[in-house]
Amino acid sequence: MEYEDNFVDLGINNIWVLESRIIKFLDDNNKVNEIKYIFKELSSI
Amino acid sequence: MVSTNLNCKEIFREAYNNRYTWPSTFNGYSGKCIFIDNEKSVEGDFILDSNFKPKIIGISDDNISKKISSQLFEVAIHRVKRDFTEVHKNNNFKFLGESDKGMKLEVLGKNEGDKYIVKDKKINMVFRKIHGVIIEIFVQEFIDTGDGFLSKKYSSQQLDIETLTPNQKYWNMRIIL
Repeated sequence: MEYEDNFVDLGINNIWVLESRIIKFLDDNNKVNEIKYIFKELSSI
Repeated sequence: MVSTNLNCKEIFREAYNNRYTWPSTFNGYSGKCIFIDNEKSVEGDFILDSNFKPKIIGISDDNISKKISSQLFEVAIHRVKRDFTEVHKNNNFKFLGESDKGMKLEVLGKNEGDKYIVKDKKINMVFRKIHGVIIEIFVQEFIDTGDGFLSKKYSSQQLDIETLTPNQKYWNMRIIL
């Protein structure tokens, strides 16, 4: 499985959080599949 | 020339402490989350509280909700600062060799057999036995936050514990250094 993560600074106290993650993997037929997770409008609580 | 008398535990400690972690005062964060695969795109909201338990809101598909939650939790758990002395108090580190990939270290003691590669004060390879399998991670690219490094591009695979051959079929089994 191949991962590519991107992180973003929330803008306070140098807090970095996940902004996106792409996961590539082979399925049962050896075909490359991709799943993306995107996180936006992020703010600390 | 590399000396085998290097203080491998100190070398690993420096790289371990170079990982980016959140300050203990951080209470969590919230935002929108989007899941996209070959078939669909699903959007919702999330809250990650101070206990780092993600709550996914507005997504009816439990499977997708769990996948999003798992990613958030996995990233968050790696951001928790855990003192090196406490985590590795029963481990020692043995020099295995050095190449252009970095310095290869093997753990002796509690986590005997685990291996790491350290280069430029960063851990770029992890080989760990966990839950009866081997997890191997190679980091190709880091992000420098100014307060530590985050893994940006990496590969992760599970290996059979006996044959060390890859098993592609695993999900969400990630490790804490």
